[in-house]
Amino acid sequence: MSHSLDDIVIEPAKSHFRGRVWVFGDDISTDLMQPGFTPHGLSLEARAKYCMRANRPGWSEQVKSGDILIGGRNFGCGSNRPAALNLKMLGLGCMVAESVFSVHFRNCVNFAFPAMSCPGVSKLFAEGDVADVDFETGLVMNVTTGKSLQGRALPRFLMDIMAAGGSLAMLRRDGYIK
Amino acid sequence: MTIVEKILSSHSVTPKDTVRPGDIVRVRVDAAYMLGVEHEYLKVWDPNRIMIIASDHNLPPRTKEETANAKRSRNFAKKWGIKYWVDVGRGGNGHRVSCELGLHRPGEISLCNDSHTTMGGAFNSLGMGIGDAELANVITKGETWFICQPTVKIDVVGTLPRRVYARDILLHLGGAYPPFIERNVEYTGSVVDAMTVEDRMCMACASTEISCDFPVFRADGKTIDWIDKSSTLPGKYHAVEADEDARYDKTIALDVSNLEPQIACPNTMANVRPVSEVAKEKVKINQANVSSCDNSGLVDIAVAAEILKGEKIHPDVRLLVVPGTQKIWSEAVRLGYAKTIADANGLFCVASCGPCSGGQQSLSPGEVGIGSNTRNFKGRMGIDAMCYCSSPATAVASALYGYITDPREV
Repeated sequence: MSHSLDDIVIEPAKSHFRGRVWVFGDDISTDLMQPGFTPHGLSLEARAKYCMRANRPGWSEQVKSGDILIGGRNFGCGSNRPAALNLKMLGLGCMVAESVFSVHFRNCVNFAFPAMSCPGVSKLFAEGDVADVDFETGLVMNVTTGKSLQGRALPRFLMDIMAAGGSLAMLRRDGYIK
Repeated sequence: MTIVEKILSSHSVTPKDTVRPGDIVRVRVDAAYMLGVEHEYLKVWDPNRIMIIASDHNLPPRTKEETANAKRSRNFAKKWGIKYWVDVGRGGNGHRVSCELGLHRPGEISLCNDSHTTMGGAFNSLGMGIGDAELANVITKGETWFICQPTVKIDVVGTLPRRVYARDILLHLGGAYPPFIERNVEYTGSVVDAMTVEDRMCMACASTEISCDFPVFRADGKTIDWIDKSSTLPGKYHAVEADEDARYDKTIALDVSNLEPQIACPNTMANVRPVSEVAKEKVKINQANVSSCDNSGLVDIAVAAEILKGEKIHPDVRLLVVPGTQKIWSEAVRLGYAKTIADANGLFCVASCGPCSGGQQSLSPGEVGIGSNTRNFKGRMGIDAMCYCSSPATAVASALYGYITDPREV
């Protein structure tokens, strides 16, 4: 990608979210979230519009600020590409999935886009339901149905990175990027 | 403790006698490498423990962005006196080069942005892709964090049948089991003990596609020999064995004696079938490849040459053979493999990542590709193209006949 990550300023993440959900299935790869065929030289906002184009064309145009992504098993499998940044730039607040691949999970932390593993979550929601997600307690609630599940709360150490606007913001703050 | 738990424990920034699954551990890192420099203005923690490669996914660099990145890498390496600076013509695929330079030492932690950094596990070393943003942390501070996950032991026993390889074992694991997500994997057993280091590198690297955290092997004489001949990292390393009473999430006994050649069909690495089954459908192919960090070793090119000897590939098929490093390229030329491949109308390419990430020789819409590329995801190797993953032998056998072919028939 032509953007130097040095220049990116990311909005710090909260720890509690409430929003309308989009439901995705199993094995959603970072290739789908950030396709290799995305043209070079786009703004981050324009680049994000290519997210899920191969598997769900038109979806990225429908996402509203504060929406929540619900994923299946093995979410974020594959490449290390910073697909989390695309999810963030689309305006999504956070994501919860049956399981999250470690490389994608780390990118989520570093781009201040909270992600949680919560076994059973894909059956908890139908698309369009409203979710309430608390990353400090790990509680994931379907506000529409009143049902809830316990996901894996995130350690304070990781919440602090996201609250600072991601790892690059911390490096800049601490003088490691000259 | 398991091997992973022991290495995390010995590298903890705050002293920790034990590390258990669920713990978040801040660790110091022994080596790191960058596949091109994304962050021009970073400070550097230790230039003697860093490798920078000018380019590997796009080699030689062609576009304005690619040449600019190579130049930025060159300037950065000079400015900081980076010990392992690898310019165009000296390298190849980043993970293969880092292994040749002995950057993944037993009992240590070596990291890179790219997801296939798991290759280091072949050397009893912890490796995992961490992304560009985290690599910036490592390059500047020499440390990072991991959440320690439970470990699954996979005991590989029996005898690999003819034309069934390390890659087939990993393809099988991807198809026959749920993803090993949020788990480490320790490979043991007579089959991995008997394997070449290159084949263990294939298994560790392809473990990214079963979505585990760290894949890891024991260190044996072959490991130590490889490292002692190649590594110039400072200080001593200490190989790590699992404790007798190490706790595993589960143990899988995998007898490979009856394993058939495997193929991951479009569009996920879980969509795996025996090649013999797919071969019955006479799936026509347009392109085949022997490439990628998984299968670009001399052992892989030797298999390709052996199958192609005295043959011509099907007139409607292109075959790309991409060695992992300059050293492997030279050896393949010296041993006559390159000529055999060229005589068969295959394209013997420069050492690089090859077509795997869609950069070189992408598939056109409607085309079908097969190869040892790491993944078969939709759109990855060309928009609206179909992509199958297999061992090099299956890919080359298919190139001969023009449709997906069981390599045991050649």
